Amino acid sequence: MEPVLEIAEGATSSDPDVGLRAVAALRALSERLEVLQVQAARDLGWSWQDIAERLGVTKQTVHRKYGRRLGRR
Amino acid sequence: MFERFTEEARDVVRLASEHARRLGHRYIGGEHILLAVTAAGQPASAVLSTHGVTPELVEEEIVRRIGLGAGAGLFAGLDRDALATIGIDLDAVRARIEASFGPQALTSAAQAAHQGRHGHPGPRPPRIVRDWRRRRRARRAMAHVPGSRPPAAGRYRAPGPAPSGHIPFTPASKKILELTVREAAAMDDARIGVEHIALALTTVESGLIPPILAAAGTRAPVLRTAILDRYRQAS
Repeated sequence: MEPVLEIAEGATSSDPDVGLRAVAALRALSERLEVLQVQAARDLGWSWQDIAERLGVTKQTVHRKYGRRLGRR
Repeated sequence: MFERFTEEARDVVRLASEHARRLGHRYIGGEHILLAVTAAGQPASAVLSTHGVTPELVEEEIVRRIGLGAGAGLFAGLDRDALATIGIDLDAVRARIEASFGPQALTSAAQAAHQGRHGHPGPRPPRIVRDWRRRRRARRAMAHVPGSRPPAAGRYRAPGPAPSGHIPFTPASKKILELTVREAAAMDDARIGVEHIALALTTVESGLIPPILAAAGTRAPVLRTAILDRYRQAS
């Protein structure tokens, strides 16, 4: 278990190793949450257009990314 | 390919999938293989244990890092310590998500998340896994002796029914199986044993395995040397 002190040090650290890892982990987390939310929206009958708007991307982007993965619902 | 696996090595693969089910995970990751190896009662398991990598610790770390049940897959492999450095508590995120979404949504989102990021159903499984699936069907049809094997034991069990049916290997754990075969080839061993699986596990550089080893106070190269030493003495 990571000691609390060590974590606190990491947060204020300017060490690129710590910072870059944090960014990568954050990106991975946001990807997972996006899958979950897009899927939930589709289940509720939202259009790709509506989903894309909220995500700030084009309809094509979101459809290309999730259309096949989530299948037709 | 799997016919060259020793009985014990096959048991490890089988138990990895049972551990995954018991924890409510719908995929077999490298961490489940590691857990099965530590609990296999083999010389390689003993080496891992003397370095602190016990079944109890591995299970505890898996549960701590990805949790139990359907939602676990969605958060699998995320670097919780790195997130903590920028003030994100993965447990808190998970608790909220699980409170808002039903287990069904979490499960299918987890499956979609592991399907690859380009929207394709993912790469074809490597030949070794395809062959194994085919042979497994044949083996099951031929000889299934119910209750003759030890079940995957442990402290935790996900609430609700365990995932049934086929649960897939993750790309990373498929890779581990491929590397296992290579480890045996590199040592000129005709049979593929638990030690080769253990050696393959020591080459993994991403995912949950490195942080689990770190939590045990050891590192992969140390384990690798110790396992090789142990088997050199034996032969």
